[in-house]
Amino acid sequence: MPLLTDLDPRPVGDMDLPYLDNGSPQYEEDSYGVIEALRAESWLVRSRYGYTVLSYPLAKEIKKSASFVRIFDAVTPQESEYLFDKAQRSVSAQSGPTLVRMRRLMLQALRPRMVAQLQPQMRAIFDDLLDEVALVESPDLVRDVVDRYPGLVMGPILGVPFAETRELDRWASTINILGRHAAYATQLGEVEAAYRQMEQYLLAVIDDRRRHPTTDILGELIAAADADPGTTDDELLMLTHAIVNASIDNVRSELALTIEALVDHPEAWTALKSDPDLVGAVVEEGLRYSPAGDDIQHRVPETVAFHGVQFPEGTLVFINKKAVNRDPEAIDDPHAFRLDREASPHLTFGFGLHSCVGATVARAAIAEAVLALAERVRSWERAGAPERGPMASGGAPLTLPLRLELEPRRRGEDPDADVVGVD
Amino acid sequence: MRLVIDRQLCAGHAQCVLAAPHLVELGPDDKSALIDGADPADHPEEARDAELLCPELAISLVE
Repeated sequence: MPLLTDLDPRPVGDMDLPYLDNGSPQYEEDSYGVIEALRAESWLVRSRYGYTVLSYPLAKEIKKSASFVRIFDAVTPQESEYLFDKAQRSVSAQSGPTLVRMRRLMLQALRPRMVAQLQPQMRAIFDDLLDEVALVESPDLVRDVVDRYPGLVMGPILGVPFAETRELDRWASTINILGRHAAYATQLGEVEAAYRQMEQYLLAVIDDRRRHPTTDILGELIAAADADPGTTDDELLMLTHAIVNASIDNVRSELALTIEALVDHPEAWTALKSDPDLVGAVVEEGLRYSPAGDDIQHRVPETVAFHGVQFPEGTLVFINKKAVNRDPEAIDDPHAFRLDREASPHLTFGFGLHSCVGATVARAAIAEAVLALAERVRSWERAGAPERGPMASGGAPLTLPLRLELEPRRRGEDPDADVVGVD
Repeated sequence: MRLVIDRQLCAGHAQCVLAAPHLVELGPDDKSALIDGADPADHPEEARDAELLCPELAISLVE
């Protein structure tokens, strides 16, 4: 991409840019078709709430630049004073030393290096769910398995009973509607209510953990924050919110999308079945090929010139994850799902200072589920059209009608193994 | 005390540069590099944060 000079940047409002209607039914039905038509014209397009970047290299530049500030959502004070205030104080909106301090606390609690120890447990949970659906008439892999898995996995890790993860999940899914701009006008009240309920719940958790310390993620986070004199109660609330809000909804959507990609790419699926070591490549390519999210939102705090474009103070600039993850400038054959890539560059977890702190846990949870499927799905093929969630979830399937044949679970060293096997 | 950066794993998030400004800088290839002559023992807090904050688990602190 030619590097335009910043000598003579044109105000973005004066530019004749193509329009990405990211709330339209066409975009929901055929996002990639819409994106590719626009990409041929420009790396920057107008969109419903601001401007949207389609180029991977330029998106990465934005992620590295201090001139574009990450925001949690694009709510204005006129739309909701409460949500606007929360957005300002969220972890996503922080920068500099405050951000470093908050990330340190979250990562202390998440201990990415401990994740490997949790993996057998994740695998066992997924296997249990497969055992259950094997007994059901016409089971649905997404509705009956994938939908329950993140709550069962993340509940114990977070320190939340499974029953309560269902409610947290509902609130988080509603709050994440904020990413779906077209929905603002009608759903903002619902989002605000979900946010308030989540906040009440988290305040009670904080209060409880202070009296009865625990070693799960929320317990560790609350203890670490309380031990740090620089961290206020309000920041602690935002930290717990950031972790809980991201941990269930996103894992479910990304796993459902990855499974769908595997169903539609039999060559990749066959390769994985014969070589389970490909699981890392499947997870990474799944994250790239179908990101569980639509865009990453930024605000320009001061007028800035960027590659020949002047963005006035306050402009909202979005990075479209679908577009950048399939940018031919960043990756060969971008619309193919391939396991033989050296790398699958993507911005699904964001990049840089605000990149997802839960990425290690999410990758592990998806990998264990995919491994269980590779071992136990004898065959699958589509048997109807899936229902889909909102674009904020990347349009992840809520159901995935399949003709599905499952193998019984391998019992390992279980002495009954030979009796149980059917082959 | 030694800070080891796996440059294969480093993706250039630069979290460590922010967390350990006395020890790490971004190299010309946009990946993290140890600052010449910097000693992690002089900034042990920074060294620990750099290890902890790396999203790619590319940094290890060898005590």
